[in-house]
Amino acid sequence: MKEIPKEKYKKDKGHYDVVIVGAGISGAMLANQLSINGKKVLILEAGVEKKFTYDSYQDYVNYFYTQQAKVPNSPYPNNTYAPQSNVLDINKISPGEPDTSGYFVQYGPLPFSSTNTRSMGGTTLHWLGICLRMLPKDFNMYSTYKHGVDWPIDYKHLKKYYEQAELEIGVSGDVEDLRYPGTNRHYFGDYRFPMHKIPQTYLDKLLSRKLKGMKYDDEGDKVDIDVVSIPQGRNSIPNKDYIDPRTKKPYQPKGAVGNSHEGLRCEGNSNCIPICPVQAKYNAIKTLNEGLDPKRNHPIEIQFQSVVSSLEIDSDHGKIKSIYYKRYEKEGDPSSITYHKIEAKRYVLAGSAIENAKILLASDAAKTSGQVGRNLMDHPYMLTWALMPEKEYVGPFRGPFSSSGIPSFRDGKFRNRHSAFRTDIGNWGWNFPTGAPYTDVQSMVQNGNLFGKSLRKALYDQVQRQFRFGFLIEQIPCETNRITIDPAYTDAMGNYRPVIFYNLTDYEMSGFATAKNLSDQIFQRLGAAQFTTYSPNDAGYCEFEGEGYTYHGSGHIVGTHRMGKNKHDSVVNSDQKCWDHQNLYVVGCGSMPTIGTSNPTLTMTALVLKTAEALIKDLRK
Amino acid sequence: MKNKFDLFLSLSTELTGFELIRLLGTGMQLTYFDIVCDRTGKDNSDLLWKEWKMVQSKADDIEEAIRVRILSHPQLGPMARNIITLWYLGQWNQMPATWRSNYGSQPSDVTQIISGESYKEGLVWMAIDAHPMGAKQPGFDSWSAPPTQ
Repeated sequence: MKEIPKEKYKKDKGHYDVVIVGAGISGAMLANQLSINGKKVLILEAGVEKKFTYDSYQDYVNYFYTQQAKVPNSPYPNNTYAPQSNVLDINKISPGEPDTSGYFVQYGPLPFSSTNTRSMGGTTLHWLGICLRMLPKDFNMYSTYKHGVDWPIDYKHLKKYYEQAELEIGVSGDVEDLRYPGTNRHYFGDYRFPMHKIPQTYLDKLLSRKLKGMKYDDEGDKVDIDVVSIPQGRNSIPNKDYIDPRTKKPYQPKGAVGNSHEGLRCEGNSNCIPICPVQAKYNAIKTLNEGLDPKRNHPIEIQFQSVVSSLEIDSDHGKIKSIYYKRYEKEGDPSSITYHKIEAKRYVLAGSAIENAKILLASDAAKTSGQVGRNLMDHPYMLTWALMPEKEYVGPFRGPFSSSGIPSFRDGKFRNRHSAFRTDIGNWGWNFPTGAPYTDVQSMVQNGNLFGKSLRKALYDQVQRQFRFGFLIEQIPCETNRITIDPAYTDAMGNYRPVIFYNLTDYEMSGFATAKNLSDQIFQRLGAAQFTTYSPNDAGYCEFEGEGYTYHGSGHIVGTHRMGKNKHDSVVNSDQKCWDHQNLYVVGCGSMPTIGTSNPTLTMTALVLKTAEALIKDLRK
Repeated sequence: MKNKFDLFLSLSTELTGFELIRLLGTGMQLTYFDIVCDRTGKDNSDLLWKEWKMVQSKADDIEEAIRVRILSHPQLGPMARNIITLWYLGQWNQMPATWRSNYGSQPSDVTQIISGESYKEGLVWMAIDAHPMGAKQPGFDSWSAPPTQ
């Protein structure tokens, strides 16, 4: 599609304090806080217009039921004007030849395997909902372990924003379970979560009993193996002692948008990824909905089907003059596209680490550090899976994706040598690694030649003993892991597609190796038959010291506009304000200099709440 | 006098290992019957009902007869296996390529989940003592109890 010259973009009327790009969690949280503080905010969202009704969300649920491949983006139809990646498009990359099957153009050598969602609510539509804080040492990787980089702030600077984030999202957890690895301390002080932990599954409790006292020997360092509950943004029993500072009353869980009686508790739909049917899992539509409150002076405004392509920069003082965007009335119909630019006092990019980097690069913006698009990170997610011994049934396919994990390798001296990692205990049998139980039915019928009562019995006996681990490996920032743009690769609307270069290093691979050894030992201890296989044909297959491993994406897209102490090696400061353009904020996981072993959404939320404070102050000047 | 639909139902109970009342409880029986006939073609499905009628009335060991006369039969076997997976998963598998070239291919014969309803009514969930992922929620804290059976 041909671009029209920028002079032909029509200037929108409207005098907003802030225009935010993206209606995901960062955009929603920021818009909500600004609006509470009397600021006039517009969110430009690329996705199709959605209503804030219960039915609108249920459309996603009903669509999901009929999808054969129930991957994270399966409920959320692709949109050629706001295309998004899909796990089904992730392939092995041939050297010298980019893989262009999906939205991402992948040069590799390894595929970047995470996906995000470009719709109202963003990736919180399909996120898992785990809400762990980063550990204090995660902020000082370079000073402590001589790997990665240091953040410009410490855990102690973020602590109060973590607490605010846990309130805004609605987190269920037990601080007693969150001990600093290798010690008996937790780092929460007197703080308690708004809701009590999601009850642990039968499987969690069985593993906890059987692994009690287990120690893993990591080249002389003895690591205690514990099974503990994981805090999550999923509704549970409210903590009656937690007084909500916003209402001055005991915390009340937030139910489904448009149906507040639904979703007040996790009901065990076992479908967190890709969609919680009752909205017991937090999604950013809940925060957007709050922001629409007509009692405010300026409820937030959202304009859909508006795809931001670039920023107009004033060359004299580097300030952003306007945002260029394309608006479509009908997806796929080029005649329905109109070209606009909009001005505001401040601008915020909140479109995800992918889209933010794309927009900055397309605008030739934030160039001083040379870090835009660079330091792309994920948590490579390695699966292992096994069958419990005969008749040891564990009740899989019940409860959330994961209610407990093994935190033991989140920190320790080993970080001098290899990546930290966190271990999820998966509650859904072998669903993730093998496509159980669907694949069990297919293979028992087609190959096993089972039918009738023996089929029923065999399915029960096999599936009921399935369990799995998932290892989130910390990836260290590396400049050559990056998103960039190339005029040869554009989408149906003529906007850039992300061009990705991605690889893993020995530091991470060494973490894979340790994780695999740990997993092997656990299976041996349990007498569980291991079925883990990694094939050179897997998209995420890689080798280290003669062993092959397969990783998946965790959906954690981090690092592409990192924060730092100065403009020479970072894109934004610790308030996520862009060094090079004083009226521009670039927010989201892209600002994180390292990823640690925690799912990044909670940290992203804490950071954007800190940004909200700074931006409100900034607007008062 | 058994009609084809009755034969489909009785064959389904044998193939799935679920009692008739369970199959009827899904509400999918008429839909599935139509799908089988339509996607395999009338001549093929008629042969299956005919063979099953004979097995049902004449065989001493039904289970063995199903294996010998239906599941290992090149024309009938793939249809019978598809009936199993249709009930268990709410999904129709396209008939194998060789079957399609030998016995005919119907335009409606494509691999797909029939509907949201068929997904939710898949027997696999009952077989593994769980619930369809994303539906028929068993309730808060139900997952901490030991598995039943």
